[in-house]
Amino acid sequence: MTAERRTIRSAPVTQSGIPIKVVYGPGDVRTLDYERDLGEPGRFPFTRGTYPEQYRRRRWVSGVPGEGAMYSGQKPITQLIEEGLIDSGIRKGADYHVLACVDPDHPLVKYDLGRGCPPLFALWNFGDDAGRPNPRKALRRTAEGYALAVKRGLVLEFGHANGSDIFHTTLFCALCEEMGRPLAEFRGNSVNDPLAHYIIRCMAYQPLPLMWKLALDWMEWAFGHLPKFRPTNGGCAYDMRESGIDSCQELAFRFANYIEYMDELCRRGLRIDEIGHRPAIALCGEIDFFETIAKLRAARRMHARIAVERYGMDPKAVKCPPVNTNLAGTAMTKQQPIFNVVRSAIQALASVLGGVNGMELKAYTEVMSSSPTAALVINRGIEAIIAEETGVCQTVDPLAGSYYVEWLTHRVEDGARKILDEILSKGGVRACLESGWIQGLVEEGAKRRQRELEEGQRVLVGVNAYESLVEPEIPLPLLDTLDRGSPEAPYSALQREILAELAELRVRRDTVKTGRALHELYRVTREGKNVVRAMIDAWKADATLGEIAGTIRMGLGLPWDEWGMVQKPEWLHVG
Amino acid sequence: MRIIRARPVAEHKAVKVLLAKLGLDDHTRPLYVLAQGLRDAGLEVIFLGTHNTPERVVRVALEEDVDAITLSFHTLGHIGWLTEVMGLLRVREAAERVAVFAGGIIPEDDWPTLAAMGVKGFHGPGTPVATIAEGVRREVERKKKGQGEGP
Ligand code: B12
Repeated sequence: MTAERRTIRSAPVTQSGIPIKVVYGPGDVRTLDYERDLGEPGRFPFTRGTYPEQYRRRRWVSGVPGEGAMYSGQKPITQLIEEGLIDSGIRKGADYHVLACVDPDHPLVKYDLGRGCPPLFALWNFGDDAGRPNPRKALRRTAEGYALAVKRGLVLEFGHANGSDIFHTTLFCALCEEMGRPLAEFRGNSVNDPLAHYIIRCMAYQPLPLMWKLALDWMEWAFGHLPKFRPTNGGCAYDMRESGIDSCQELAFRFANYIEYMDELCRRGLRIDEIGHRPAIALCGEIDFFETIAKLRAARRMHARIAVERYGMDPKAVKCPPVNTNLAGTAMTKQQPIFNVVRSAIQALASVLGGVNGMELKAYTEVMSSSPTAALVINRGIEAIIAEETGVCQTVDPLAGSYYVEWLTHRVEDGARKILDEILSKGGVRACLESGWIQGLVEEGAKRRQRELEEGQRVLVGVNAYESLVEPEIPLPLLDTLDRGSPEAPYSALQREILAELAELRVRRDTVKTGRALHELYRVTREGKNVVRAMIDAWKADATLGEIAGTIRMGLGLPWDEWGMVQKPEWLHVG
Repeated sequence: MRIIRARPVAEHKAVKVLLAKLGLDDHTRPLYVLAQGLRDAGLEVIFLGTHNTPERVVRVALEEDVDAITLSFHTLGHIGWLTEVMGLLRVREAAERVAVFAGGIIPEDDWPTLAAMGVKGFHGPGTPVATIAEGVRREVERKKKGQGEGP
């Protein structure tokens, strides 16, 4: 092999651009104080783990993506639950129209309907399970799958993220009530962080004040009514990271958003010692192995220190939330997809060594489309191999004390704290959004990542280096069985079915009852009260997602539709 | 939404493109990357951002007299949206003049369908933006030659 072939091509910096020395030693951790900076696992400042015994007691929760874009190549959820492939939790994504808070027949939805994941827009979609006489049940698979998950008491994760979470969390509350299940038993979590999405200017469909109100109303109500539900993860770090920012920014933005929500909830009368530890810390599991580990350790320490320094808590009273990762999709390549299995394994191993309590792996088909069942099986295999064969789970935080890991943990925390302080000194996230400063950082980050790739400082195997490894075709199921329409029939059969179901619901339901419930929602909104109970009742009166959103908009003095493309229904007397 | 114009560095008559996403697709990261990269390559970029209808894209493209429309897709709804865009261009008798490029997550199986509709490009993940800019420039020149305006 030539010397040239054996040179590492990527630059000696972490993924976030932190320069890496050739070797680390005691001098790099001189200031490290065990009690102050690390502590025992499960004890302040939680650097070494949320729980004292970590995996010796309980393995991480495997996040399983729920129904993807129109079922492509996946088995139904009901079957996956019966086969045990889904045993702890399931993530329910949101379709584009749900994220945008409009109905499936809105003119901006069209060909994208159901392409984020199967759309649920009314209690009607659940048919029998919700006691609704819906003969069509276009979304049968999805509706029955999630209804079974609710019945089995699985953890439902609402991965909408941008604050539209409340539409589906309240829909599922309505479903629980119709099924006669006590809400106190409703287990799940919602990402519910609109600020993140105004920061990255992605999924910021509705005005921020509206999404802010909805997100906080949900947090406030759920903290009070749903003991088994985490109504926010305090900051959708994953979406922000995937938009191009680095690790320090990821932590800084996550905690800046967390602080914004916690401060507001305290203003609303909730107590930080009761809610401060409830939001899970959900980060992005990146391909940079040590930086990911350092980031996860730093995240717990930051949580602990913020609780003491900002909220004046007694260190002994501070509780650490679970830490989760969603593994980075931007690390995946279209070129030679089987390499993505390796990338997933490395990301997952880093997450485990960083002490996560839950993680969700990306499918090797990430760049092509959503995951076929093969990808799900491979991912569960990766997790099982890490858990059982590698031995890394047998002792807690095995990398503690490593010169490099401790140096990098400190370096990442320090970088994050500086950015966080800057955000707070500028008046917090909402003030930074107004000036446009924080959005600029994201845009700059996205451009920098692309530049690094094009100039070769960052190597993606098979993309900008080692192209010869891409030629031999390694057969793999890549799916694409998905009906994407044709110029003659641009809507798929399922899209047509869903639109027909919506039209049918509008004709068959009792609009007087629907109108009454929406009117109540309108009144509550106008009076500035918490809208959650009224939203649940509106779902139960067969209102649709777009109608609920439109009514709340009117209650806040906004026009019915953000884009002026849809009019308020004539039978509805609000505004 | 505001239309943002990014002026190219070079002074000669630059190739002018409109860059947008249709519908509710909000994968904005590639938009920022493309806007910057195309401008760096000397193209003039009319940035329409997200949440556009086909009508708006075609209207602005014709008002601004662009050479090409570059549309980014990450939802798999590209066939329907592009069918509408191409139809509107034909109605406005501009299909010959304005090149239409599509990129993002577009399965290879769909390329022949889109090509038959007259759509160009399909540069997917991992493509340097300079390569995309070069492809656009070449296609625009080819179109101009076809119309007898070439060098
Ligand atoms: C980052 C990302 C996100 C971020 C977006 C952040 C942001 N600000 O943009 C977040 C996390 C928010 C996100 C959310 C969602 N995402 Co996403 N996301 C990705 C991911 C991982 C990378 C995309 C990216 O930015 N790459 C970096 C850029 C620079 O590369 P690029 O986009 O490929 O662009 C290059 C080329 O394609 C080309 N190109 C792009 N556009 C154009 C246009 C023209 C004309 C030309 C010539 C070239 C060109 O040039 C660029 C430079 O090389 C992809 C998977 C992947 N690895 O590609 C999924 C992916 C695109 N997302 C997907 C989905 C489903 C979603 C969600 C619907 C999930 C959900 N249910 O909530 C939401 C919806 C968001 C919305 N409302 O639009 C799917 C799409 C499925 C499909 N098409 O089959 C993908 C493929 C992942 C998957 N397999 O599930 N996502």
